[in-house]
Amino acid sequence: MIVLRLALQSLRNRRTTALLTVLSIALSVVMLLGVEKVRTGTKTSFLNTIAGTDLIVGARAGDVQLLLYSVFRIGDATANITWETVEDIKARPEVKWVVPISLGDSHRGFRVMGTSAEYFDHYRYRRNQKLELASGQRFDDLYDAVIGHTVAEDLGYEVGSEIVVAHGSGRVSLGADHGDKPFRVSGILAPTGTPVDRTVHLKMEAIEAIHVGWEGGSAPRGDAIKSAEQVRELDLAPKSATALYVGLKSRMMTFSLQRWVNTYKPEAISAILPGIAFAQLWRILSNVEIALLVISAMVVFTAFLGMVISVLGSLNERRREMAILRSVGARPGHVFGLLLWEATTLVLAGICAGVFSIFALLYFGRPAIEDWTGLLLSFNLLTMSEAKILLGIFVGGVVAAIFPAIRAYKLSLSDGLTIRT
Amino acid sequence: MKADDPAIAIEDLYFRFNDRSRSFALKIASLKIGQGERIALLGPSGSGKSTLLGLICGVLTPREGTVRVLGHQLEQMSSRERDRFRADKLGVIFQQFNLLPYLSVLDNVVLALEFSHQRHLSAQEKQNSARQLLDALGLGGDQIVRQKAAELSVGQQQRVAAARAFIGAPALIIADEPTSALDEDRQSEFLALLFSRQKADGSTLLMVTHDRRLAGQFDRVLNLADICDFALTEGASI
Repeated sequence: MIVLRLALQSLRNRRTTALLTVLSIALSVVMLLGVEKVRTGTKTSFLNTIAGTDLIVGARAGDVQLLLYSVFRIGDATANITWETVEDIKARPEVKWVVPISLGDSHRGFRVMGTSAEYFDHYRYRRNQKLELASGQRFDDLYDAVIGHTVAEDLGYEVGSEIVVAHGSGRVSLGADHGDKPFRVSGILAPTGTPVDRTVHLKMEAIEAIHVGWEGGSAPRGDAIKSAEQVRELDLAPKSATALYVGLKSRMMTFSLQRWVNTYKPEAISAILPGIAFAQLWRILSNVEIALLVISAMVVFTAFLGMVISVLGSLNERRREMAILRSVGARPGHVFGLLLWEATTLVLAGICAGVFSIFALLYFGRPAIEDWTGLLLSFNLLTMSEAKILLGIFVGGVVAAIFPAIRAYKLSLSDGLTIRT
Repeated sequence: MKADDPAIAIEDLYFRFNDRSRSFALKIASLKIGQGERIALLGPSGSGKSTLLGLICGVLTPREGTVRVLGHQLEQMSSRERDRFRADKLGVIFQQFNLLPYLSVLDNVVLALEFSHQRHLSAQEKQNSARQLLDALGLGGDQIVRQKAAELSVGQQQRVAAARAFIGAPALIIADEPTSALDEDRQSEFLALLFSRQKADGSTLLMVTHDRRLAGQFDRVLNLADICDFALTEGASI
């Protein structure tokens, strides 16, 4: 016990160095735990982007590509699905519901997506959460738009704002837009932390309406130009969709319907199970998470190196102290213990300070971080993996401290009572 | 230990450092110091005084011969037993910087009891006896005993060191040039304190010094050159 008391008093005497060491260990703990929190948060947010949908059907392409454009609105579909195919799928006995989506246009950098009203009933995220409207209502009129949280936030839109859809998905419209058919924001969705936040939702019919006369791929001229009101009179039933979200009556039927879709003769289409495609995509992304972990581990290593260097550096000036201790009957083992206790105290204090900081950070900063990044951060007590990380840091710190302690042990053996400076 | 046993008895001692970086050797045929004696050990620096003290304190062990201190055959004890013996039976005063700078004056004195297993004292008893000793050495103020050791003057530090050496009334006090950092007035004052405590406890005092003027105040003066058969200093070879 005397050794522990000496260690604490000696640390208090060198409190500036000790505090700096504690600070650097605390910072590395914050970094490592932070990376772990972000990692698990990213994973949960990511894997919970879409739920309740059993299959996603699109033009034949790789699973990940289909997932990317249909859920994340990244990239484009190779082709659309004709409405006959959509009807065929709807007619399958396994199918409970089908929600079509139509992509291809944009509004000031945000993707525009045509869909049916059932989208708002069937799209689920974070296990089983439904989309909620923060204000306004779902689209009703042909020229109504429901916009995501981020769209409204970034562009300062409110219910009733007028927006113009640009043709194509680029941020900058090259003059080809649908300015003749402006939309009115009818509703704004509550934040979800998913790509829905960055999407402008229109009716499937509205997508048809703004493309009347565009069949050739470019803006209509002369007689082909129809005004917004004229278009209302036309048949706007959708002729194609980019992808379909499909819900089944029973999960057991997933694979049989997938097989049926993948072997569908009239058109080259494929069906993916979102869960499996997500897992594939996550494996690609997980390299980044490993890189992050490696970097944080290096930060921890650097912190320990700093601690060892500062202890070793102080050893020479402390040889006098060791001789004094030896003269009053301390064994070399006591000297070893003294240095080990000092380092252990520093490591423990660093870990405690780090854990405290990260909880404080999460407690006060979580709403802002979630709002800003869409990450779902868990504010629980230590998870198993976090506890393991902390244990690892502690053991690593004590092991690192053994080196200077051994050095001190040897010095005190060879110096004896001789005071060397 | 019997009453007529010598406090220190060295016979046929041969010592050499194990590591090659220090080629120093010491050979002593015979050295006897009686109980309660007040001995001055003279010798120039580098002559092996510190080594001899290390042998008597049990931090060094001879290659050959016997070192008997207070009835304990040191070379036959384990290093743990020798550390325990030092904690229980010896008081040591160094030339300078005797104190742990981060402990208070009081804690520095009590420190000498912390590693001793012979006397199980309560924290209060330890503090009381430390206070008494400090009082006797003129450092009794409430304020001063709470001060950090590093804040004291050199003279005060040496008196605290003396208090630490005497606490628990060890039978043998080893002092390695304890007065060399003090000016002349302080030197005699310090020696007077040292002698009075030693007399009160009836302990043996072995003090190394290179100052011949102090020699007259001791019962006996030993010249290291006289008791050593040879002492090879660094750089020399056998």
